[in-house]
Amino acid sequence: MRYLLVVLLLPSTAFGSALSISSLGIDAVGLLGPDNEALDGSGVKIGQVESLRPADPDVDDAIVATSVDPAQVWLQQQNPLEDIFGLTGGETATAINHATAVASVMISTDAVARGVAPGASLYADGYVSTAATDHIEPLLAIQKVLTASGGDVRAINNSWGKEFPGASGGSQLALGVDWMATKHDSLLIFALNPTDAREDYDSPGDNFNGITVASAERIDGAGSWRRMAATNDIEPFYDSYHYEVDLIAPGENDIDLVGIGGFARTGNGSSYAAPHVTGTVALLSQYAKLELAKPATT
Amino acid sequence: MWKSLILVVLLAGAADAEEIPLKEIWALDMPGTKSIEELEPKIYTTVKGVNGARSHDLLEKSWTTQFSKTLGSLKRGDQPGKGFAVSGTGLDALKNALAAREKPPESLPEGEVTLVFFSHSGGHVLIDRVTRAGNQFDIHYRVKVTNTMDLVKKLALIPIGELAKGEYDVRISCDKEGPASRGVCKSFSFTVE
Repeated sequence: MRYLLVVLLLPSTAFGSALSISSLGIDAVGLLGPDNEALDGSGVKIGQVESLRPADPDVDDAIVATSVDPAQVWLQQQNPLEDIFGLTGGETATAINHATAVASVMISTDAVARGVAPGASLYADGYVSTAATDHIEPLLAIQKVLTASGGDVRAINNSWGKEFPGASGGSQLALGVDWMATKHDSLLIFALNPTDAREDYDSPGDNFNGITVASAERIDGAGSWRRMAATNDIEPFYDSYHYEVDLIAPGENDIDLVGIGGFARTGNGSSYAAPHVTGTVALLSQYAKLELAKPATT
Repeated sequence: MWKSLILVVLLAGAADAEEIPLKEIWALDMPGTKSIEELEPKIYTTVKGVNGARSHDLLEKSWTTQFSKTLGSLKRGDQPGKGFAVSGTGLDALKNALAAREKPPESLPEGEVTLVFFSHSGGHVLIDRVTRAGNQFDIHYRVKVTNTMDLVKKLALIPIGELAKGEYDVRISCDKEGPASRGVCKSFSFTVE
């Protein structure tokens, strides 16, 4: 098992923003490209799949103004505050609020709760599946994002989890991720299931062709996010499954987020660690594109 | 004979249990209850109309936010602490709860009392029902399964009205305890003097 912290070794300048993306966290603020261009994910497509989808001011009438504005969303074009798919209004709003908060870690333009890559274009699909062991619906949603976005989605964030019906290596999810890797040039990033939250859930388990992200916590509660969070606490519940943590990123000590109406709030869990990595992929992709576009680059 | 007598006594006890409706409980994100945000309407209605730094600053001033900040993640082996009771109702109870968070009072003066139920960062804990039978209160909760990988904090203020002098027990339980419920506050007792 390897625990690595996401750190960008690029020039940076600090200014007021979400604490977890400042120098205390992944240090993603004020990054510059090869010719001192601002690195904010501009020109890069990233994706998001989870239960339901983030609110989008272009399709949700109730969302008048928000600093989280996906390029495109699919599924459930209804107003997220209405009752849909058998969920009550409150539950629907909560679920979509989670998706919106996850999206905010990646693309929020809010001054306080700024995302890792506010210039990136986010394509998001939701799934609604009542079966705890069914991984087909989310896999189809991933496929939708990869094919319907016009291609070139560099990474897809997955802050969701489910139960495995058997050994994880042969699960629908593991096989699906493997297959996607043969068809698409996109990184699938999954949040590790924090057992404190979902003790019966095992995914992502084996994730040979994707990245599994666990939460980092602040040292002594106030220092930098450089320590594996106690809430990951996975060993006792994975005896019969394979698992591996590839990266840790800020997910504890109240991550700054943007809620469904555009207001700032905080949250915890690997749900919010994974999008730090997905946003970072957007920054690295932008850097690579700028570097490759230079005439001297061969 | 004795078994029948015990059964009759148990049934009689159960029949005396009085339910405290969920709709009378102020809670943070629990279906069926009153939103605790309504105790601080100036903050929460304003927050939903503004973005960024202003909403952040407003939320920092909220009593709910300040209490929530005390509910960080527990490390393995740490215990969540006990629930507790405070004087007053509504916003007064919320303020008293924050003040008493570190060292809850073991005794309260006669008058309105509110039970404080909380859960550290973890699963989606929801209160199912609250009952009273004599000097015994029961808070039954469950952990809602969701597909999201977030950890949430919970707070509920349960108004139980005016209590006479005496000793009271509050039992906090769920059908199935596990990792997702280990951050839930524990049963407690208090005295009204």
